[in-house]
Amino acid sequence: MELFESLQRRRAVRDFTTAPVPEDILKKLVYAARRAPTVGNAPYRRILLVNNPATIRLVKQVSPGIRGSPAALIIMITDLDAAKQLGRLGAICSPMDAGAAAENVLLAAVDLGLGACLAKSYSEEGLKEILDIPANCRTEIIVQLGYPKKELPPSVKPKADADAIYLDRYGRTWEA
Amino acid sequence: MGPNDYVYDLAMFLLASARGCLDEPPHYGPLRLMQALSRLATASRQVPCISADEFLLAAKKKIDENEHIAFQSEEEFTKFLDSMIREFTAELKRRNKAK
Repeated sequence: MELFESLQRRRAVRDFTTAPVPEDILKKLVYAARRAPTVGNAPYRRILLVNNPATIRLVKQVSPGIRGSPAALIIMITDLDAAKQLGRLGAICSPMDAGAAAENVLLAAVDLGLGACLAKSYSEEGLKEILDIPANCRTEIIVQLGYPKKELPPSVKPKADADAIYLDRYGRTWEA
Repeated sequence: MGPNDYVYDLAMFLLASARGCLDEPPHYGPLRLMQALSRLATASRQVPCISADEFLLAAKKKIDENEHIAFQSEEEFTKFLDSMIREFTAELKRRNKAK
């Protein structure tokens, strides 16, 4: 699938079948995450893959933002000690870098026939307790993954003021 | 899932939601409460002493189908909540009359 087809076809998929995601597919998703940049090429991003059903159920219990039953989760984590080496830039950019990795996973998921959705509504403390995440780390975002239970929903029309595009100076509208 | 698992599931959802409400947009609060109501509506499937209730199951279906409105329009979500309150109130009146 071409990149632009993945971009066009991507939807927020929250309801999944019970089918597990094969290991070779999971490896491709993790590869996609790792291909995302980090500021200063700093090694502070951590990627935690969860595919044990019992653990996923526990994560779901502390995550009001996870509605369905995903077959796998990829959690982007920042090692705060490692990020400190970049000073304030590390603090500012680490969530962005986690987002870049998450977006790569979302697009790769489309390419691999999976559905995916980001989740940020979860308990940080609960997640740390379940997954043994050290105190010097911060979870940034969860990507929930699985095979879509139903047909993909139609694309939602962006709100009028969303992603306004300007040319050369702020406020000068450009129709892309 | 047994009755205790069901209660713990719901309890953790409420607890995690309570913490989340401190950081999340204000409209997430009513959304989480409606999602909790949706979960509560299926109590009969998990807790033997609660009988299945068609009204509650229908309410759950409505909530699950309409919760996305919370992200789209505060005005429409308010209308949805008000319509659910009217339906629940009418049901309570009907039940009280029947007693």
